[in-house]
Amino acid sequence: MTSPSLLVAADLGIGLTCAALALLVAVIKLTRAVAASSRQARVAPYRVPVLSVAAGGDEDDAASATLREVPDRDWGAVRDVVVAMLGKVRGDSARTLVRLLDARGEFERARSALRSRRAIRRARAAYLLGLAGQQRDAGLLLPLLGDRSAEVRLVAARSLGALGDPAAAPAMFGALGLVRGQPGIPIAVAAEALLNFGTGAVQAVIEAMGSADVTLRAAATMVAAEGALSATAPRLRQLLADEPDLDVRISAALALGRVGGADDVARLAALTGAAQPTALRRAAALALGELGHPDAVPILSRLLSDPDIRLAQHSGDALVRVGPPGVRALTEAASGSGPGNPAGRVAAGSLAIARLRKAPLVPTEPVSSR
Amino acid sequence: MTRWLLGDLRHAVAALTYALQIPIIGYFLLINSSYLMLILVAGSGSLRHARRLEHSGRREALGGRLTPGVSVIMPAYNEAATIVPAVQAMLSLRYPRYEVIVVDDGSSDGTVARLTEARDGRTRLVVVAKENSGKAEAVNTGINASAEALVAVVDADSLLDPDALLVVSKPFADDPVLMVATGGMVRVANDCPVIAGRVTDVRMPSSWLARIQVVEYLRAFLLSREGWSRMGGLILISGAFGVFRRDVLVEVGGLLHGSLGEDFELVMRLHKRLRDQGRDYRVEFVAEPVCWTEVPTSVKVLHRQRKRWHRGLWETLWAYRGVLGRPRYGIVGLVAVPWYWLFELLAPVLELAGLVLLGLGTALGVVNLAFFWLFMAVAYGFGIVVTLSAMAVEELSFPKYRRWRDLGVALLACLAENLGYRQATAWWRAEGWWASLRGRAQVWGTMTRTGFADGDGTRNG
Amino acid sequence: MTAEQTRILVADDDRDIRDLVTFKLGQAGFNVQAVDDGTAALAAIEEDPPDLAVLDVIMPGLSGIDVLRKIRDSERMRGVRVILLTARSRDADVDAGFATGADDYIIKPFSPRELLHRVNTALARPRRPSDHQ
Repeated sequence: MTSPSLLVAADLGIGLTCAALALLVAVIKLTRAVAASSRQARVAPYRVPVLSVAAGGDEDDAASATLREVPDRDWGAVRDVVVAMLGKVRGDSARTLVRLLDARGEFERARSALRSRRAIRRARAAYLLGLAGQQRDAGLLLPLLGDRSAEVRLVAARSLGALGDPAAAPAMFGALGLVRGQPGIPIAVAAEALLNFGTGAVQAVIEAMGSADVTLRAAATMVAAEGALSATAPRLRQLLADEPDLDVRISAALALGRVGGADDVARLAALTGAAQPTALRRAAALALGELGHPDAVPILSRLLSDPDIRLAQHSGDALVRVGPPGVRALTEAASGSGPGNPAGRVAAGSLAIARLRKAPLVPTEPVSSR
Repeated sequence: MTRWLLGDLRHAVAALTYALQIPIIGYFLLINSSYLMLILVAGSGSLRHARRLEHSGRREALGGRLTPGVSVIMPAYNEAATIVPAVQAMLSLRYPRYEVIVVDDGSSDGTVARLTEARDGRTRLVVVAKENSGKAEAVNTGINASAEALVAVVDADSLLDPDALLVVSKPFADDPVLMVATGGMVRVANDCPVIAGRVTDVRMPSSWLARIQVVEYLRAFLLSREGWSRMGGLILISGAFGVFRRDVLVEVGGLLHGSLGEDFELVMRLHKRLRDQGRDYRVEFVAEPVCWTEVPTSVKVLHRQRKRWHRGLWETLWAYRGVLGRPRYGIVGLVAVPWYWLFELLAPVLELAGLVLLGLGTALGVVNLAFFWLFMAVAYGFGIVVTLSAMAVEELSFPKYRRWRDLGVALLACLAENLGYRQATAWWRAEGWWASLRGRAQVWGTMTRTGFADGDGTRNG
Repeated sequence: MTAEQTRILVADDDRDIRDLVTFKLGQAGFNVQAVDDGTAALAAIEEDPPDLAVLDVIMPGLSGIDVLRKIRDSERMRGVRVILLTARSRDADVDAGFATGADDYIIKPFSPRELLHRVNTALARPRRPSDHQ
């Protein structure tokens, strides 16, 4: 074979490479540590002003002024702190932080970055504009729903949701379909954004419920289920009657629970029949609880002894939500509880949870977006 | 007479060394090069992932109303001592909607009784007690009891970071149609302070055996999986932390009872079934460290573990040999599986062969110096290069070890790994393979079923 | 009781939130102590019970709810008012937070001004009765 010295050289070569790599790891670590402490140093004098602006209150003008005057070379690091803080606050604090970023031209830069050739820049810019919450940027973000990068489409959808402009609803539904041959944005992302549009989007939601594309129907019913849009009730009843897709039916049942009326008890009760798919039965039980109508008590009481434990538990919780007639039915069922009476156990369990939930204070925080 | 035999032996060994040196050296050149390539591919992926964190939607997912729910399944067997903090930690993860399902596999130490202490009130906890029949059945029972769209399978001794579910379920949220399984990165928790089931600081372990495993995991398990994932050929998701779409899991029949490498077997089955059906799908690895586990610090336990792993590897590869080299199975059949056959399965045997030849040659005085130096270089030296590259990638993307001392220890461990550890694990792995081959007669029946009839072990939803 | 004498403990593993809450409440005249995990929070409350604690729900070590449960179970610490801070907004969380005895529950992203308002409201209520159920 080849001469020994060449081979020893090969070993030496490997040895040197190892040494070089070990050095590389150390250098990376060192660089990272130095960069981090240098960032810290840059930001340090400005951290308190940022906190002051973020905390709101009337004395933040001096702080805002300081931050507006941060030298350009330090602004990069300070900007990251401000943006991070912006993601954690809302209300006046958020607005003041946004004004600061605006004064430094961050949004101008972001708006032009929306046209950048690099996807990561477009995505970051879209994220920032969504965070800033300035409605006028919605128009700029709309075209990004058809961007060639899936990542950008996702960020654009979320940001449009954050901006909350209902005019974007039709485009949001449109983004669910195929884009340049790739699958559209995920249904849950679109639905989450649409939820933030509130009642202004109800027309688009109703239309989407009648779409031939199942993803649109799925997104629309998801929105209706979480968003309690009463105008959707007639369409929901239609969907329950003739919709082929199971997930859409489940969402429609849940939605009807929120916006339906006394007439819908029978409709939902029918869906709890033993022949129905398990997931649909469970959703129907939940919906009956949401509806909270006493007519549902008999059917829910029967379901307490269903072999599907989750269904039984949902029925028990639903009876609690119906109110006094439901609680009476539960107490009756629970009184017969014992090893041979599963319904009794479920009833007792639901009653126990209900007692736990009778908290001394009523929650005051509305469950809404920023 | 002995001299004559010895002479013949020397002659034979010399001839053998000469004949085999190119294949063996070429083999190790190839295996380490491919690891290196995987690590570089992984590196670019990790960096990409890290740069996109800010706008990846994690915060929005946490506060979202429609974020997909997850059922976390924890099979447990005789974990009474640690089950309560483990479950409590599992109940307080940062995720908007999930439930924890603990399946007790017939524990005899009162594990189930302890679990009543672990109630939380916020997150749903389901406890299922069953007769002892193994992890696979326990997990399947958990799947049956689960109600959410995604199922996460974790070991009872896996320690998850608070954001673990957010991280590992994100691929599903971003691509709910195609994503069917994701694997999380499992790293070494030994000697890391753990409070209430959470790792609160990351340090290198104090046992050399554990230290070596830290660097071994980096080289061999973690980054290579990320690399395969980026190429679309991920065929192994650790049983310590994986997330699956429940409907697909039910469709393929859950975990296979009796399989030694049940996590590997499941992913192979997913690939095979889905490709057989011509369905488009994705299986991904998420390269952000969010799961921690204790690695063996005793030689005996390590021995058992490696033997079992390799046996499971062999049995699953053999069961799915129908996938080997078939274009219908895409990257999995044409690249990933052959690679595992050649470079995972065979590696211990070739390494041992090289060492034996070396040893014999030296003993008989005919050692081919060229072979010696080259073998050392490509088998071990190049291996160290690969480990160091992995460390560089880790340092760039998601560095977890803060102290300089830990870096020093890791570098030493890189070296120490080759002074007995690799050789020992090679032997144990070969042992596992051999044990399986010898026992194959009885196991054959089960294997045939898995290989061809893929309809077994079905569970209803 | 003047504001200067009122002691508040803030526990959150997110430095920004910790600093922000400390700043806001400090600005309002409270004596604020900040810790970054649940175990440290419990230790600090045990050592010298504050008047009110603002606890993040998910933290390394003990969670905010675990800490809350432990202090409600203790004679000595029972009187500490607690406001929970979290990103999970689903109803179950809100119910559970109150069921374990929190005085209020704030969802992130939050408004610092609103937090101050809630703190003042919570402090204005008399100390909790001995039975939190």
